[in-house]
Amino acid sequence: MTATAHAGEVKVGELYPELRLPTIDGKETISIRGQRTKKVLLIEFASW
Amino acid sequence: MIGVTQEQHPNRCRVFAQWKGIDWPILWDPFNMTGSKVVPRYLLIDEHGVVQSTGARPDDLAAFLTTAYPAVDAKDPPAGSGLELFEATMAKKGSPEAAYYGALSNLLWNTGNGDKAMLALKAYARERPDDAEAQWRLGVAFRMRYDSLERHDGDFQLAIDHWRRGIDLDPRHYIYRRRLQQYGPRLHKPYPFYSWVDEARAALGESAPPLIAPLTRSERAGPRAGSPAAQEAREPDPKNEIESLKKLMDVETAVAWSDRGDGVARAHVVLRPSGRRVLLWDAEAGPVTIWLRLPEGWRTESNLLTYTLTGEDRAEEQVVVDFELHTGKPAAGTIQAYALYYACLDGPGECRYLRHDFEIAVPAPR
Repeated sequence: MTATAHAGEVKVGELYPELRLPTIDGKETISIRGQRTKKVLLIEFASW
Repeated sequence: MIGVTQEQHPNRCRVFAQWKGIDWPILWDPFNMTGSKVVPRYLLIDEHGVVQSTGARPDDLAAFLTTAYPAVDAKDPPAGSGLELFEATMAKKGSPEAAYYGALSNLLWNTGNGDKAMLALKAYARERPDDAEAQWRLGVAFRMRYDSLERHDGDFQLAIDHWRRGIDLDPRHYIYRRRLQQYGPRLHKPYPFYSWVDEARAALGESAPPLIAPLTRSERAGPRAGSPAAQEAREPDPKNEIESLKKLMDVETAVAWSDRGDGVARAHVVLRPSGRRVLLWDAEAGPVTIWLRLPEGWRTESNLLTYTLTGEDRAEEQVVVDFELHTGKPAAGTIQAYALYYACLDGPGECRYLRHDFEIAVPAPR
């Protein structure tokens, strides 16, 4: 991947890019695509 | 269900999630690695990791859940820590991008290589002055360091400057724009950012997560049309009679200009005990007051600002105040200011009413 690659460029029908991020309490990290065998509703939001 | 938030401070979202009873995991993406340009956004990802929708609606959910999607030929994501994955999957090893993503991951996972990471991010952004993402992320990194014990003088202003650069390069980016609005003038805010936090924390009581970074007035403020009516205030120490002891206090200031060319800005001031001589706030004796002497023709809501100390940490509490500034024409200038405060000096233990003079440098808008 290049520097400009990120999940915002995802397209329907393509694999979600591998991206592992910490949870907001910092206790664990989760891979969004790593939820294999599970379907994911991914909500991008802000508390403001 | 998984949430992702691009907020600078994850604990604001923690308070929100706990208050609203959200029990699904929420990921922290301060550097906007997900590349979101708008929020909220709903994505559907099937059991094979394939994106089925990038703008899902409630009606789409039932069909998504009941459909068995065909398998695709794809490798499972590599195992390892988040840090390793950043470096392994975002760029080829040894490339400039590898160092860049390594630096971002160091800051995101707080691995203790902050200064080295900042150098890498600065170098990357310096070589890419027209890369909105690199400029904006550097702003995020400066603000992260500002909120840490490793802060350097001027970090907050540098954060604002790089956020501004990112917006100038990508004006339609909603996430970028919101970050600067968070600390900018009221006229710029379509709605308040964190006006709900006090209510949420009161409802949660002792179980409320700590905020880490104190909320500023600009983060609570809602929009307002027009300029504020000036409130008359009497200068508290016009003859400079209150005792002033040097080196007791560190002061940091930052200014976020409106981008409408209307001469409106938000100025932020942080006072903190310097640690050179141990100063202990005396919250019971009274609030900290700050008097502003504005350049000719400049206006603010009131020249007298007041901060009520919580008294929770006498040695470490930061006095955080911010105010709207109307300069007429957008221009650089300097505000002369002083703080009056009650404090006790460690050692002799004597408590005094003291004065600290400082300047607020207002840079010209870029």
